[in-house]
Amino acid sequence: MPLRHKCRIISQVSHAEELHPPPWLAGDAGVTRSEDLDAVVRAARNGDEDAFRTLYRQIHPRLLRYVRTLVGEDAEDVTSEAWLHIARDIAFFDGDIDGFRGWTATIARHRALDHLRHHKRRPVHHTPVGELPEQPAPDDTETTALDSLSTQAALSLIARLPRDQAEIIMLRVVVGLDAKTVARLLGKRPGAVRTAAHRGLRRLEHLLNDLERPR
Amino acid sequence: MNDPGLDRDTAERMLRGEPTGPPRLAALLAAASSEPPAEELDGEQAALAAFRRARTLPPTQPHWRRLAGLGSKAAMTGLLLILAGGAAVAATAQHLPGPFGNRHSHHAPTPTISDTLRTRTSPRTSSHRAPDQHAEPRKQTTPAAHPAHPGHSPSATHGENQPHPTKKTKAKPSNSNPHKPATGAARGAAAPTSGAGGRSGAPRPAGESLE
Repeated sequence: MPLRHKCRIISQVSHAEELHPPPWLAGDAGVTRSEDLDAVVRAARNGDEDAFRTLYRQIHPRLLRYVRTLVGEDAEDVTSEAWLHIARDIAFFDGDIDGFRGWTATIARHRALDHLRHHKRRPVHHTPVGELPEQPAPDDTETTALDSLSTQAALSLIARLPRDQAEIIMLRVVVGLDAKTVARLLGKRPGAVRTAAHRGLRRLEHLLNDLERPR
Repeated sequence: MNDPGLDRDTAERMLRGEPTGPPRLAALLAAASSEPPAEELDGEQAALAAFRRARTLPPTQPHWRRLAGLGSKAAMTGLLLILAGGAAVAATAQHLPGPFGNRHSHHAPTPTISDTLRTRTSPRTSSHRAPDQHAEPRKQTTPAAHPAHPGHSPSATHGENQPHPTKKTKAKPSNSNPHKPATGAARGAAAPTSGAGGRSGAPRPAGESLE
């Protein structure tokens, strides 16, 4: 199959690369390549509003999803505050698109933790088990359940992991940071980050298995 | 259903976004990182407004914070240097316009006469103390070299006034109204032997004009 063949090629190529761009970067938004986004970051830093808009559209949704795993339903407010901060300080940011992702994630995380401290709350897994959205109808089979797994459902499942695992998986898969950047952001060693992520993925597998079991 | 344990390498590749690993888990990760729906971009206008605001504002706090963080001492030293340099420049600059300005204002009433007198009587000096030089032209040849000559004090003081810019600020008031009795008195007080000179200095313009 051509598609599968293409996927295999992509897989091989990306396997060779140390920094594989996250899948959402391979979108069709026009400006998607890393080098192009580096230029966009530079332009935004120099005051180009269109460039800033491009970055916002690229990064905000992922940031929002990540913040949601930390603060739940307050994620919109927290992420908006983070963007005010980003907009104010971007002129002083120095780095490429990967650095920019790490920087914005750091700001968003700090905002989220401030928010939790201020409201004297612990990070909550906001979605109760029974609230897993877009559950397939009972007559659907388990396979369709997985095929139709929505973003919301996927995020809810990830949010049910222990917090550090959920956070690492979100930062790596959704925000698109590499292990080193995540380690720096969280103040951990890269090895510890990889271990936690590995555990998280395995646990996610178990959660999926539970989900598929007929009730 | 029963995946034979996700190994570490595969996990790492999945985290990088490679389409590998257990299909259900891969589907979950793909769903989590799928393209966003439009409503997730509701805050775009607010963010852009903040961006615009940050452009229009002058260089903001972070810059200062960074400056302060990186080298507050260096910044303070630089500031002090600038201030000191500015003070020095201002000090020297103030001396220069002093005599010139005074000379102009001083000689404004009788410019041609004093100038002609000066050029005629003591052409080698460009001093504004024409009468003194006129009175004691010889002493001007050895002016500050012999400050010990008490009898020459009037011309000596004047001679010192001219080459030393630092004293011109002091000379300024005497210059501003040198022809008034008060100045003569002040000068006389400063150098009693120059009382005559001071007195002669008081009617100086008249003397000049007379001569």
